[in-house]
Parts: sequence; C-alpha cells; structure tokens
Amino acid sequence: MKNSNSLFLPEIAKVVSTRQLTAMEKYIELKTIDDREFDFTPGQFVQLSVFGIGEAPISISSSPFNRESIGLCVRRAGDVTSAIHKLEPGSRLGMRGPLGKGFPVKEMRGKDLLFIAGGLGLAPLRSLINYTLQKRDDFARIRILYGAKKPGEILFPDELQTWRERKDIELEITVDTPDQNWTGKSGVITRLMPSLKLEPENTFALIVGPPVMYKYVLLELQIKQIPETNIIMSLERRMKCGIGKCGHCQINGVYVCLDGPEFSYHTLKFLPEAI
Amino acid sequence: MKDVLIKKKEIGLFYKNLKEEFTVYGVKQKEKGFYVFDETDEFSDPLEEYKPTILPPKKFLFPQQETLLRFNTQPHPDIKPVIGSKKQVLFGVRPCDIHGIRLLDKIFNADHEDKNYTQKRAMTIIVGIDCLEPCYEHAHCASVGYLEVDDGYDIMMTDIGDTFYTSWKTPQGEEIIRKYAKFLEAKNEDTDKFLRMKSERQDRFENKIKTNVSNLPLFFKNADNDPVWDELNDRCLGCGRCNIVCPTCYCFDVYDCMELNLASGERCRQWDACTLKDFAVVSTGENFRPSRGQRLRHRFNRKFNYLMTKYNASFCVGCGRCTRSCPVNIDLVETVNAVIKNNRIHEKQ
Repeated sequence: MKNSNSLFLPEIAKVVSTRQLTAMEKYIELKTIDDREFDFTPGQFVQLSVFGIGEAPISISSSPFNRESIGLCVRRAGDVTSAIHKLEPGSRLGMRGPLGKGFPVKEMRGKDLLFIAGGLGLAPLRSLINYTLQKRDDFARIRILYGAKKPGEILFPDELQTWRERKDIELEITVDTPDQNWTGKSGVITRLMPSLKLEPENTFALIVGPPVMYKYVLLELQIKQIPETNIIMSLERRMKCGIGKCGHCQINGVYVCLDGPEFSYHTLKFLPEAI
Repeated sequence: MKDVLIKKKEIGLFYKNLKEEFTVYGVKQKEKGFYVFDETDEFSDPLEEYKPTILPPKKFLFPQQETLLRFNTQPHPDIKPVIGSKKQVLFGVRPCDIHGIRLLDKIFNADHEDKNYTQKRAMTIIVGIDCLEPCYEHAHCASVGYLEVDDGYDIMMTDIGDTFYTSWKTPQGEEIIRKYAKFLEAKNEDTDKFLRMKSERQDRFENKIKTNVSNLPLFFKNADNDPVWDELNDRCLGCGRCNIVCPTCYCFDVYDCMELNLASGERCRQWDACTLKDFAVVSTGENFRPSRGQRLRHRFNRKFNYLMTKYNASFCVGCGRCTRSCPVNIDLVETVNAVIKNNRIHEKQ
C-alpha cells in the first residue's frame, strides 16, 4: 500500500476518460495525479472514493500490462457508484489499492482456460483475459463463455468482436432474453456448457457472475469433473474497509477483501455461507 | 519486579495525581447497579460492588464514532488523515476487559496495522483491578480461561483488605507508581496473603461451559445446522445490543459527513453490528445473511470458531454483558451449552 500512514487515506486519482457502456455501466479510466505506474494482479480491486458520498469497491477491468492507467467498469447501483457516473474527464477522486489477492495466475500457467462470465462479471475477467492474451503462449486452449441478460447489456462489444476473430481463442455469447435483432445463442449460460469438450485435469475454470449463477455453473463443472482446486470464483460482498478489519465481507472464517475476492471451490466448499 | 502495597485510603490520591499527566477514566455509577467508564474527578470505583460497566473500556481505544479523514473537495480533493490519541489511563479495568483489549490489540495489528487504534493504544496505560469474587450471575470468565491475566496491563491491583497488593507489568507502570502513588514495599507476609487469596478464589468461579474451551471451535464448526439457531431465529430481535456491549466486537461502518458548505467534510467510522439486518447486504440488494438465526450463528462463530481458530484464543472474555443486555434473554452460556449438548460427539477428552 502506498499510504503507510493511515489505512484509510486514499491517494488522489484523476479521470482520464469515460465511456458509457450500457444504460447502467460506465467505463472510467484513471491515473494517479503523480502518474505513478500501476502494478496489480487481475482480479484485484480498488476502493474508489467520492468525498462526501463515500467509498465503494470496484474490480479492475483493464490489463495489468497497461501500467499507465487503470480502467474500471462501474455499474450504477448505489450512492457512490451513481456519483462516479457523474464524473467527467479531469475530475478527481480518491483511490485505495490495489486490494485483495486476485486470480492465481502462476498456477494457471500451461493450462486450458475456461472463462465463464455472467453480466458484469466480464469486467474483472476482462483484465485476466487480456493478461492471458498478452501472454498467449503461457496458456493452452482458451475458451470464453459470456452470458448477458439482454443484447443491450452486452459489455465491450467491440472487444468481444476482436476476440471472436482471433483464431487462438474460442468465444461463445448467450443472452437470457433475445430481442428481434439477436442472431446469436439464447438461454442461460449453463446451456453453453454440456457440449464443451474439456480435459478436466488440465483445465482452470475462472468464473465471475451474479451469486445465482455459481450454483448452476458449479454443477456443470462437477459433471465435467474439473478438480475443485481448478475452479476459481470471484465473490461479491459488502465491503467497507477493504483490509480485513470492518467485518462486513466475512464469509465464515475468511475475509473476501483480504483472502479473495477470488477463491477456489476447494476453499469455498468448506464455507457454507459462500455460495 | 517488586510488588508494593497501596493503602485503600490512598488510592484516591494516586488516581488524582495521575490526572496531572493523563486523562484518567475510572468506573462510576450511572444509576443504581449500572456502571460506566468515564472521566471522573475522584476515584469512585465501587470495588466489591462492581458489576461490568455497560460498555467495555474499548470505547477509549476504538470509539463509537471516530474521524478517519478530513477533506476539502474544492477546487480539488485535499485529504488529511486524522489519527487522534492522547495520554490516558484506564483505571480499574477488570481481567475480562483486559483480555478484551489484548484481543483487540491482536486484531488491529494483524495483516495491516490500524493506526487509529494502535496509536491510541500506545498512549494508554491500563491499571487493572483483579477479581476475587464473581461480580454477577452472568460472569463466566473462568469458563473461557480469562480469570487469570498476565499480559495486556501496566499495573494490577488486588484488594487484600486494607490495602491493594500492587504489581507492575511494564516500565511505564513502575514509573507512574513511583511518581504518583504513595506506597509501601510488600513484605513476604503480604505476598503470602495475596497468593492465598488468589488461590482461594478459584473455587468461587464456576466453570459454566460444559467442555474445555479449546474444544469449542470444533463444536461450532460442526454446528451450522444445529437446531439452536432455528430456535434463536425465532427469539432474537436482531437489535445488535450484544455486539455493542461486547469487549471484542470491532466491526465498523464507514461513512462520509459533509459540512453545510458542501465543500468540506469528514470520513468517519462507527461501530456496526453483525446481528443487524443489513450488515451483509450488497448494493444489488442481496443479503448474504438474511435471517436473525444466521446472523447470531455468525456472531457465536466469531467468538468461538473463526477468530478463535485464527488467533488461538477465545474471543468471548466471559464478561456476560451480551446476556445481561439482551432484551429477550438470550443467554450466551446456555447457547454454547446447547451447541455442546447437541454435538457431544465432537469432544476431545
């Protein structure tokens, strides 16, 4: 942590650019005011402050290879995120982090990767996907499954298109409720799973989505016999401090902020409150 | 270390002299039978009449509300950390509450040091008063192994009749005794009397928990589906009083307050309670512990399983405040014993 003085002291960051992604989601790019380089692991998050409103934990969505700035996909959900949505380029806000441990990128090396993103879950996975694409030779087969509620809620459509065009990765997208113009697959994300041909021992499944998705995705992965240690899920919990003190994000004996927010199913299956 | 005697009639002088250098907080009666730690002009500890204060003395180290940052937002955010501390003496802290502070010391130093706590703690001197009799019916300090305390205080005083048998644990403790107290050196017969009174107290403190305290994490690990939580779900009001009065509860909320000028303000933390309904609610509205039984189970697990496993120490200090303050008479000892009874199989002999 940069601020060794008070655990709660944010550094000041400035908004470099903003982009409305959907009705609810906005992408904002941040730099620190002293232009320090960012060093983080995909899956880590920051606590963003709008002073006078409060603080909210947001996962980093940009690639760790871009060290000049970080990008965050912010859903307008509460007071703080609504205030973040109002920020313009040049606005300043507070930032603490990166916090959390992030995805186990070292253990994933050499493996087949199966990304499963539901809704806003694509935001943190995008950081990891871009990391793996940058280090493409470090990983074997890469497959991405992405499910959104409606076509209008699909995040990063341009980037999805470039992923689709790449020959060295496979991407499948489904929407729960298609509209008239939708020509792709429809139905919940687990519908994409039965036809997958996996080498279970050699596969890491990386899953981020709403809580309801995990139960069903887990069932499918267990049918596929993916080892529990290779199933990695990112959990959302209420957070206030982000550093293992305030108690809000605790699940049984673990702190999501300190010990996660990514956990293997091997860990989570012993935490009855997790899923 | 040499032990000394401070005559009872001279304890008030010690207390008063300390006020020259420190803010001194002692025990005083708020209303009949209810005591509080507060800044008092004179020593007013009820000694043998003592019952645990309504709130534990953690409030002087981890206040109910505390400013973390001050900020100006115009033209650009300008943020200053706030870490308040002052030289203070907590006078008359009983063993249960000393254990409470010891445990908070572990928490606020672990992983990331929380200087808002640790700097207050570093400026704090703790003068303990030992217990020779159980203070009231809800006390179960001996059951969790916390009647004895050998760390976490600067001075310990034991009432042996006309005098306090007084030992210091730290150089600061010795210094303030030498500087501010009128004392006599303890003679061998005083030490014998002190040791005899300490050993005689053992039989008076009942072990109310029906297993060795070290077995509790295993009991609680296997009690997630215990019927006791269903029963408590129907009784608990989810009011959070048990959290607020607990010496080792430290969960907090963080919030911003703006001045009327809407340009400057503060970021503060205040005590929160894991038994309150919205404690684990996320912005999408999902509540990860929606029922009162689940939240109470979480609280008991914090005391006897999660934190106990991480720090190898019970996070219940046996003060009985939660039981005393519960509006529907949920009794901590009864609850723990119900879990033990329903899960006897997990006992290590």
